[in-house]
Amino acid sequence: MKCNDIQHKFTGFLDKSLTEVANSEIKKHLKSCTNCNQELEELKSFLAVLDSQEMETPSANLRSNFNKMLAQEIETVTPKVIQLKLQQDWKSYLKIAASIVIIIGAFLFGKHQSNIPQIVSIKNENQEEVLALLENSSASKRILGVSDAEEFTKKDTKIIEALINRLFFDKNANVRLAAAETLSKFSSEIIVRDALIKSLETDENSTVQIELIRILAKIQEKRAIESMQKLLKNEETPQFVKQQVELNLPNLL
Amino acid sequence: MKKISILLLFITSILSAQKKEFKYSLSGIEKVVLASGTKIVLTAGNTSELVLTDNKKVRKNHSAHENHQKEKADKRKGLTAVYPNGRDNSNGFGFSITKEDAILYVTDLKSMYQRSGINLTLPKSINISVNAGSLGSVSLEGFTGEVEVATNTGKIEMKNVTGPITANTSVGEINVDFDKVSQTSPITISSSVSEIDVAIPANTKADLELRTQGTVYTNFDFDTPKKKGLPNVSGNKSINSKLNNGGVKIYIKSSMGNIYLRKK
Repeated sequence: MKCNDIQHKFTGFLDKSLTEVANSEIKKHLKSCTNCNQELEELKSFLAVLDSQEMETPSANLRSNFNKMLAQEIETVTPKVIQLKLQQDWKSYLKIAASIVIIIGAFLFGKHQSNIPQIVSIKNENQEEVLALLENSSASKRILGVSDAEEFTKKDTKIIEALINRLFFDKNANVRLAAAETLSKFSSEIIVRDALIKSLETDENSTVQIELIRILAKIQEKRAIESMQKLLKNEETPQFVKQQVELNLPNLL
Repeated sequence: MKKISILLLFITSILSAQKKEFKYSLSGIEKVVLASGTKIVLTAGNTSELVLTDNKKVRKNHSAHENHQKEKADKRKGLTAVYPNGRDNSNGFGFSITKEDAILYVTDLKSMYQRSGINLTLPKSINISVNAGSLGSVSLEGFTGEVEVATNTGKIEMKNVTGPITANTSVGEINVDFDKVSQTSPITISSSVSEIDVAIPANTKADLELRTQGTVYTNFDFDTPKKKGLPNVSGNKSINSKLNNGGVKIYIKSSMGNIYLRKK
């Protein structure tokens, strides 16, 4: 056995943690090898120094100081931590709220989207219905259509055009009369005013003529003065229609 | 169709021996549009055919008249009457009858000078549209369908009707007597100068609109809205009222004549 190997095992030998065989082997070697003996003595003295050295222990103050500092630190930091926590909560609530809003919003938007064509289609249906009534072969039904047309706004040009069409071409005087009355409600439209003037020049039914004279005077359509004067000059105009013109003409002049 | 016309010819040939009459089957017809410039009297019948008769008073058959007629008939032998407005297809009656889908157009080809009134019998529930031209008048009774009437100077008289009614005249008087008032579509009666006299059952549900520069007389209790500080209804302002909580629209307009609305 080499000295080197023996010296490796010295710590175990001194601790008495080696096997019986290894122990006796080392003892045997030590009897013959002075070098190893010297080495062992050195190790022994070194370990003795280590043993003799007292363990340094921290003072009791250290712990209390540390605790104090910790408490202090906690005290200064704690409010911040709470605030942070609160802020975080608020944000998460906000997130939840936002997501709810988005979901509901999306739902409502979807519903609205599906409603829009519905509303439009209902309106279209109504318009179709009224337009169909205006073309009905029954005069009474056409009048119903004309009075239903009152509910439309001036934006429904189709309806207005259909009414003007009735005013010009309907064979039944009562339908033309009703059309004139309904059209007077759309008198802000220039095409309506034009149609009313034109109709006064062409319509031969005295009831319709009288109604037109009255409407044109009411909406202050000065361009109608000329056609009214024409009516006055026309020999075929019935006396009572002329009377109506004379009654209403001063309102326009 | 051929059979019917042959039958009709047969019937008319028999009847024309006594009284001039023309019949036309109205199967599949929903509306009759009549245009004539004479005094038109329409009667509701229970058969589904149109019966036309001249209103000419049947003169007593004295010999001179008979001879005169014979002479006329001889002159016409082999010739047919032609008219500017169409072909006579009413067996010499002077009417043009054309069918378009469910509408029958009955147009008088003779001028008003050649007529002294016509009588027509039509099915009770058929829709009628009558135009009496500028001098003709219309009188009808007992129809339950829709009735449209237009005259210029002639009188319009309707009895035992239910509506819907559309009547217009310039100068003629209008008298309408309703049995009951149909709620299907509006009733409009208008005139320029004449009086309008309408009688409706007391329990009629209606939205009334009366317009005139004359006066409205009625024995209905009107709940016209009273507005303080505003002048009474006059001139061209209209009187709107609901009868028995409202219903079909009844629009009566006379530009200058009075309106009479009676409770039956």
